[in-house]
Amino acid sequence: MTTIHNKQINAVNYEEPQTKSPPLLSVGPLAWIKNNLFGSLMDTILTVVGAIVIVSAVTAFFTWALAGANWFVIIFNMRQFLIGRFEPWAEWRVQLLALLVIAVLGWAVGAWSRISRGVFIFLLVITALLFVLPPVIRAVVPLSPSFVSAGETAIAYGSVAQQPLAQLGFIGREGEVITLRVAREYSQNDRALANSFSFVDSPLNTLRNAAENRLTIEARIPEIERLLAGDALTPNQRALLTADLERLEVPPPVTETYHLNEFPAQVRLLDGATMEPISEALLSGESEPLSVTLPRDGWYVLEKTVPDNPEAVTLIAAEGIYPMLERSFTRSASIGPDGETIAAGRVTQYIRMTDIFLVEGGRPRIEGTDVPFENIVENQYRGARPLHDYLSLYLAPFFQQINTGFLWLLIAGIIGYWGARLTDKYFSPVEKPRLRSQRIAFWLFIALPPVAFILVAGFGILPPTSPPLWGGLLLTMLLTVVGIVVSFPLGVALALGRRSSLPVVKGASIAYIELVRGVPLITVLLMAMVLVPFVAPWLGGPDTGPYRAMVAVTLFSAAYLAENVRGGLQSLPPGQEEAAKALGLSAWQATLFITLPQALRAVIPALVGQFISLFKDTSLVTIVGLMDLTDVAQTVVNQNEFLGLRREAFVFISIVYFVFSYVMAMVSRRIEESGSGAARRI
Amino acid sequence: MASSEQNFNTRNRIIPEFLRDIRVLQILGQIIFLIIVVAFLAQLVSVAANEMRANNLTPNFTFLQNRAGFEISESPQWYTSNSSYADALRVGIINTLRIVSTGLVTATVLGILVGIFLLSTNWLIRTISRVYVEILRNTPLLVQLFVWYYIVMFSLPQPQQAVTLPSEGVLFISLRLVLYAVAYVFISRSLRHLPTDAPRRLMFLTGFFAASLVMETAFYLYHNQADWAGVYGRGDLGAAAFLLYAGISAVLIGGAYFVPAPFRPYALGAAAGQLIGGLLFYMGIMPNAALRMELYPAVYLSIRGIVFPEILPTARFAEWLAFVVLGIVAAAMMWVYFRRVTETTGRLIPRTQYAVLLMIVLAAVGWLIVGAEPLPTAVPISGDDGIIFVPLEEALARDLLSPAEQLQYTSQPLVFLRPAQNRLGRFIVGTQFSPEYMALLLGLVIYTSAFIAEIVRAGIQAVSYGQIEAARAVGLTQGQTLSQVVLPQALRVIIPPLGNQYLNLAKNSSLAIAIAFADIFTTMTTVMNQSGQSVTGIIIIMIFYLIMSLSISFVMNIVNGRFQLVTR
Repeated sequence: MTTIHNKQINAVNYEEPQTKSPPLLSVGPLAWIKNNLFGSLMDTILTVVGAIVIVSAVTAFFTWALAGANWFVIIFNMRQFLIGRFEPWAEWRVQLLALLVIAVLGWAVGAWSRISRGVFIFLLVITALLFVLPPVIRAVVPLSPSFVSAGETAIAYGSVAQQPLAQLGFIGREGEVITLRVAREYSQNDRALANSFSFVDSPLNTLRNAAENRLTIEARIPEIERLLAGDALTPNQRALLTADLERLEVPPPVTETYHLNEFPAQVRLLDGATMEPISEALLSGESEPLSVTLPRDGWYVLEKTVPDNPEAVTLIAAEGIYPMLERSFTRSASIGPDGETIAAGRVTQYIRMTDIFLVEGGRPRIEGTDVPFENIVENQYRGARPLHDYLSLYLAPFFQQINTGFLWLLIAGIIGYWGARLTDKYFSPVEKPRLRSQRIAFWLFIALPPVAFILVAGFGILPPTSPPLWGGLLLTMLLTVVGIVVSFPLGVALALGRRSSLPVVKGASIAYIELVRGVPLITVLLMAMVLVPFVAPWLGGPDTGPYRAMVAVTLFSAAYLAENVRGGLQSLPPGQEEAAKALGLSAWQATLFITLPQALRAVIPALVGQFISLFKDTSLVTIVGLMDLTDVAQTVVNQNEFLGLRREAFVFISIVYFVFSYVMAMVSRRIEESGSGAARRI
Repeated sequence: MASSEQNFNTRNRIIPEFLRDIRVLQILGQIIFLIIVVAFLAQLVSVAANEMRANNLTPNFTFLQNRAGFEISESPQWYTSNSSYADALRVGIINTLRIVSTGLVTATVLGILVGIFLLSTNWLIRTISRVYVEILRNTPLLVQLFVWYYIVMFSLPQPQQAVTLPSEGVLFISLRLVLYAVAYVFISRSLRHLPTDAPRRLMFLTGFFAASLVMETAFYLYHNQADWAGVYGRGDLGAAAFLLYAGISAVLIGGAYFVPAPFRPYALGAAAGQLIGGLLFYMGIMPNAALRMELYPAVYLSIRGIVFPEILPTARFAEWLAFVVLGIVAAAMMWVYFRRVTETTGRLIPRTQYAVLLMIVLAAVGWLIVGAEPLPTAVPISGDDGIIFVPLEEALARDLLSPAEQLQYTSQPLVFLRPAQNRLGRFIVGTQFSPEYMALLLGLVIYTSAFIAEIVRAGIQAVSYGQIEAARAVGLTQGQTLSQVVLPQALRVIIPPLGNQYLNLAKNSSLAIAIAFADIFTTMTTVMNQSGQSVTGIIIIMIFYLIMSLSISFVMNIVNGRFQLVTR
């Protein structure tokens, strides 16, 4: 008995039972990976395939974007992308409009939502980076030098023969340092030459191609021999490869053919205006680099020869000499920023690609001919671009281009946001703490479109601007906003008409809605372009393209909007209308104050969705010849200087479209989730 | 009080009594509305007509009979620049219908696939498809079309260097793959009684994969590295290198016991499996034989578009078609019969599978029977001295037969002709699709698929999860749950918005003009520019799109009606 009793006492354990840690794959990140990525055999295969696809796609995109793409087309044409050819003297109006829009949006955020401290700090950090990064990049990772060749022999490869230029014009700023040295890094062998990168002149590019070709042939011959030795070839392939093998012949090394960098180069730097020499030196592989500080802004000329051997070519690495773009246009007389008159006439501008430094005219002439310069059409960046060149070539200028604007917009947004919050703090009643700011926001939104239109078009209050010059994002936005604002009352009227009990009104509404919804937008646009001039001659002039597009977009959008509003009206319980009538409200009062507000609130997500599709659909005006964002991209890449840069332009405008649509969709989702959009339950 | 009453009375006296009747007011209002609308339209029409008459443009339809005078790159044989405007219009309609019909089917398939991916339990697949949908939904279709056409299509190679599928070359089908498959089936069947996460099962499967991986790597090295030439089948167990390998493997197997428990089966399986694989290779037990197959290109992708093999019916096609039709009829009858059996007795018969099988079998049998008919040994050839009979083989070898005659003297009911190029790279044989067609199709399909995917996702999510749990509880398989429980309910939600997307696709096909594909809109724009008949042209375009939209709505309404819940 006692033993049993003792045993029982011993069996009681007053300590916490020892807990085992859960199995490794049931909780924590490993379990997440197992369940979400490798749940079953099929899942594993999908994960592997998906990972391969995504990694290769992302790698390919970023390799292209960082090492291959020429983003200069965006940086240089930024103004076109944003506002098209809008008159420069009225540019401040668009800037003011942008500030107003952001301020009103900031006000709306303050009135209906809140910005967390994290988001605010994030925005400030972004702004700071936009300002700090460009000088830091410039200081830490200077741009690679451009490479020019000297010599008298023509460099032949394929059907191309390029002779190095004896004189090379370039533009420079006062105080800039030009450094010239012999590019020994590229003359060791053909591999070094083929792997060269940076801006190179045409003869050097020909050299690169020849070296690359030689290396390819050198590698190809053993490859063909290996293939012919095996049995993994069809008879057809075998015949082709045998013929190839007979044809192929390894040329002598390019570096030896042209005595690359074996002989010193004589260089001389001249002032472009006076043709007085500034500095000269004989550069050889061992000599010190020649550094020259430029005395003033303007043109300079670099003379380069290889005096000792007419067969030899010497490569010179030149810091501070970069490709340029030549633009000629006719300028009408105008008043400059300081009040001085700018004469009308034909102007030629030279713009340095690396930093958009601009010189007007003054191109030096020697013996009656213009001195050639490195043109960006031929002197593009060759070879795989290292990351530091991407940073200093594109990222720093891009940041510099947008940072001031970004800061102003941020300030406008903050002013709007705090305006709303302070209004609420001092003027809103306690029981409805956001009443005032929301009321004001409502009126601001009502007032914004007319103000925007006055700012852009003038409309008799400000000096008028020319509609055909509106373009880029401005035109896209303008069409969208007009489409939304004007089609709204029309759409609501059509929706009410369609639900009307009067057969004629109902029939007319249905006919209009179904007719418009049954045809593509492009036909409506075409009709507006072709037929509106017949019907409304005052809208028929050549200057009214954007207005006609607005008419089309509005008429089109109204039909879709009507269907959305009808959906909202149908979703209301009939009790609402019956109650309104029972209270003695007239049909108009019941609609305006009872059903319509609830219906509209219920369809906010659908309306936002429609606005997004309207925003995207405005791109169709490209087809009828208006200069919207899509059309600017098309036009820009058809210019001589930017031929073949379609990818860059389209990636850029896709990002712009995506950001705007996605933000709208996100706001819509927020409204939907917060529940304020749903019809109020009784 | 009195004055207001008097006011009321005065007003009543001014407005006659019948005008205070709401019914009269409504009718009057409608008449006024109608008059305003009609007057407005009449004004539009008269102004437009005057304006156009002043420009010598009386709208009429007779101009459609005039000579078109322009070529259409994407047109049937019968269209030339001498054809009429009406013919050009017809070509445009054909092209639009071509793109829309193909687009609808492809977009639906792709959309459903992406929609299912959006609901995948696999995080990576879900995220990729989400990104796909968001990018496509939030950029304009026009920009996407430009990207497909000017960037993707233009970066394709010239026809001489066309990308081909399959690429020409020799394919070795290794005997080992067959052995692996057999071994896998054997191992998984013998492990069938174990639960999926049993350590033994995991160990054996890991071992199998490790062994095959090691062998494949070794064979790859053996074929590609000179140093490995002597290793396969050497079998010398006393060699120093082998002893080193065996020793390392022993250490690995021993080390596997110290791995944390959940990974131990994997480690053990991998260590032992690689040793077994290595041994099979080293001893030469695994055969190194392969089937050699020469592959020739069938599909060519180049900057001129895509070219598929041409499929031509021969003289015997009609006989084979009879077998196919017979198969379809028999299969349909069988399907109906089995359905009745299932409905009356409750016995489950996989009727669809049986029906498809019957169709395939009958078609195959028909192919064999038709092909077995002997060909004539000699064929008549008309030469300079009348008709002579030449043996068939000789006639074929000497290329004496015209293409039509060749088709007549072929034993198969269908012939597949691989695409062939002339020296300039033009395809003289093959079914071609222009780059414009491909760009438009890709653009439309991929853009629409993003929207369809969202609709499918929403539709499936709308089915309450209890339904799926209940289906599992009554013992339905995964496939039955999907086809019998989830889809019928999801389709109810899916079909109405899906119809909207079909309409959008049909209407969006008019963007063909941006990339100069000759659809109705593009051809009519050309016609309008040439003839000046813009009003008539626009009316024709609008009528066409209205008819197309209405037909799609009509079909979708019927489909929708079939899938809706039948209530009292």
